[in-house]
Amino acid sequence: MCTGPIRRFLAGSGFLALAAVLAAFLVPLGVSLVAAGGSGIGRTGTALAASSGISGFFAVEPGLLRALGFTLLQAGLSACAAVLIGVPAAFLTARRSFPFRRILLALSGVPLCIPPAIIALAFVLFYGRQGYLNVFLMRLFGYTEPPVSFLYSLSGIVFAHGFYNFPVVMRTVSQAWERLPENTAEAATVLGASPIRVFLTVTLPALGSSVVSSAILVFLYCFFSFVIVLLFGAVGVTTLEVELYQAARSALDFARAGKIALIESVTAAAVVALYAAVLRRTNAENSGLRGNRPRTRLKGLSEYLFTALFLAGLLVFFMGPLVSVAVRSFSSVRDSGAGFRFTLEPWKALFGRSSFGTVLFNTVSVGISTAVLSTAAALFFAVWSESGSRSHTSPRSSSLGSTGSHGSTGSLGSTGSLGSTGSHARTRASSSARFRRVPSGTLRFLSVLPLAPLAVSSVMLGFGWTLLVPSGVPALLVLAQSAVSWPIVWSQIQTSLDRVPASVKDAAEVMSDGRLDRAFRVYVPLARKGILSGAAFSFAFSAGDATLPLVLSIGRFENLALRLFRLAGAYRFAEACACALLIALLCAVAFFLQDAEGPERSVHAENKGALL
Amino acid sequence: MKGSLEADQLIKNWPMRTISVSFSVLPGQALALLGPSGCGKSSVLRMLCGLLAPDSGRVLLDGTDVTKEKPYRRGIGMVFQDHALFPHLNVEDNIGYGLATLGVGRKERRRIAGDWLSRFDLSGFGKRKIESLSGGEKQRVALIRTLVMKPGVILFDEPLSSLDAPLRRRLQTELRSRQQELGYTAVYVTHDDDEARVLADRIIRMEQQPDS
Repeated sequence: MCTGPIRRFLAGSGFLALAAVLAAFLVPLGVSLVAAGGSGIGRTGTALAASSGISGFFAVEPGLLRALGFTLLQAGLSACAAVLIGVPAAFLTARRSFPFRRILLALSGVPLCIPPAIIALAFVLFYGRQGYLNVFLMRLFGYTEPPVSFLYSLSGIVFAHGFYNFPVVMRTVSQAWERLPENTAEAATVLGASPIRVFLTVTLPALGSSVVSSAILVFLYCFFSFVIVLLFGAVGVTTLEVELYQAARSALDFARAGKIALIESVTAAAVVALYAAVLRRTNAENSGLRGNRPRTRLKGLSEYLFTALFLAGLLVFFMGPLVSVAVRSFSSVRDSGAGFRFTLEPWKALFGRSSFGTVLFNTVSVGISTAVLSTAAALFFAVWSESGSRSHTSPRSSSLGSTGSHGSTGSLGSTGSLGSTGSHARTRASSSARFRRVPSGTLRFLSVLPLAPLAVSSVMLGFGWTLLVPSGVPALLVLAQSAVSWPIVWSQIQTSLDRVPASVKDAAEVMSDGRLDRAFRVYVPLARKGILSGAAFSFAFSAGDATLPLVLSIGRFENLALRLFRLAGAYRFAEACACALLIALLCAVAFFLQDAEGPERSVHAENKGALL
Repeated sequence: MKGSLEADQLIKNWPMRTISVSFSVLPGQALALLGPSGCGKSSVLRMLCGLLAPDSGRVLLDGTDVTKEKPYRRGIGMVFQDHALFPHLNVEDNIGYGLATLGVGRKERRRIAGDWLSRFDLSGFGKRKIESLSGGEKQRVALIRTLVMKPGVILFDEPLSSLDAPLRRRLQTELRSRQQELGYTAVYVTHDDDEARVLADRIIRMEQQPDS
């Protein structure tokens, strides 16, 4: 057990880590917003020429308005698509037992573990003009032209976003559905409602907030989507995020980039505020859910048919693209979707490049550094706010508050962690209203911190940094990635802490010698699983992130995600697939290592070890 | 007089236990099914109202076999444990939910709800949200919601279990007097001997077999 000075050193390091990630978020945000006024700092450090004053600032060009409109449209449609697929999937996973249910549930990890760059590549391989689906259909029906041609359009973006994000909706809604008490639906049945009326008038309203909160989260992710829109967006149709990237990196028009950043942030902040309100309501509603209904087998021919069609659809449309990546990485670089001949050629080409070792080293070292920094910051914040919040409440209210908190943990934690999942926007998760029992104004302010990164994109953050540091360095990438990923780590840790019963926290308060002692002997050991899981998420985010390395433009720096992006851009798909598989493998190792720790031990067992 | 109910050798099997019951209730009578937790009392009610299909046996209402009927066609109402009020609907809409199924118009539903609310000393509660009601008020709203459907028989699944002791005692008396006043046949499920004695004319004690 570490002694007093070591504890103080570790706590101090945590504080510094938190200060660093907050600064890494707030400083570039401020700089990019200043640039919106036309007086930003140029790449060479010289002040940019002032634009045409206040009127110029508010005059938004039509092109920008079009981009805003398209951004909202594609994000809205994508959220609807995710809900349309996610809600039936939630019904199946929450209410029915059937073969492959566990596999369907496991898909909820896909948005978390697979970077958008891989998803984009997978969709190109499967749905592209020369993709496996088109080749299959052309052979089967004798078409001379590829019949599937929607990929490079709004439909393609919505399709990819919808399938990529439906697990977010599925997981959140499923968890609420599982705990929905049976008696209200039964009461409606006894009162004569048909199954459809029961669903529409009783079940759906009860699930409404869960559906809406997860849909808003998907909306936010799609609002900031970068790689998928960059690849699939039709000519002349872009989103604000892509516009921002082009203004900042291609046109070097920083005043315009700043303006885009401002519009983007204000819009996203409004959505985040809405999300926070809906999430509060969801948590309040779900905290009262006590049901724990056993799942039943599929009923009747119609349910069997629906489930079979749904699973077959997912297998083809969702798993098909992902399997394509694996298949293509073992086919010849000259092969298109038309043929498959097993070969290790792409892997040899990938490993054979002289810079491969450096790229791998960069990925692992930056990933580990990001995981360490973001975990240190998140752990400090979680433990500090936890012990702080308890010391601000009377024993009675604390206990009551904690009980409520514990009750709602399922929905909160899960929404939060899922929300925070995946790459960039989603990594800045849904940090929920965990501080609802805290009366202190300071802690209320602190509760906003993990939500703030939701309203800012990676491109915008990177843009702010490039204004300050024109030539990026790897350390900057670690800082920027930590600024984006620490909320998800915090969400994981907080979920672990929320599971600790109020009585255990009370005991810790009575038996420990101050906050630091309590933190190291009780909170940190109890949150161990959350800490490891958060660190794995952070590593996975860093390893799969091509956006920040691209925007920061670090000289002679390349990680595996950036290499994947470049290989795909050069139409070296087989090699890009091998690269994608390697990233997935690295992420799998990170998750395996945290999982090897075993499941979260019971609080009583933890408590015994922690306090004795 | 209508409202006789008979459970004729109702049997439900699960891998680890079996429920087997036979009893009848006369019109206007109140019967209490008493027994320890887990002995299957609630499952019996669910079989009677059609939420759970028995493996064998019959449910007879006024001599007619309703075992295969859908729940709402049986003419049997049910008041659920924890009331099972719809949290997103106000009091009036909760009461009118079943009436809407019957095609009763909104205006008429409001009138009926208002009438019943005043009979139960809840005048002016129509627009109230469910979460704003006390335990006793929720219990009364749940009863009204069932009564407006004019069932011959009402089943009560531990109707007072979520309430504190003083309120429970007060509502036991109220439920008893309402049942006598309105004359419906009632079947209560409870694990409380005293409650069963206050509520019912007749008590059937369900027992758990040692090997079940």
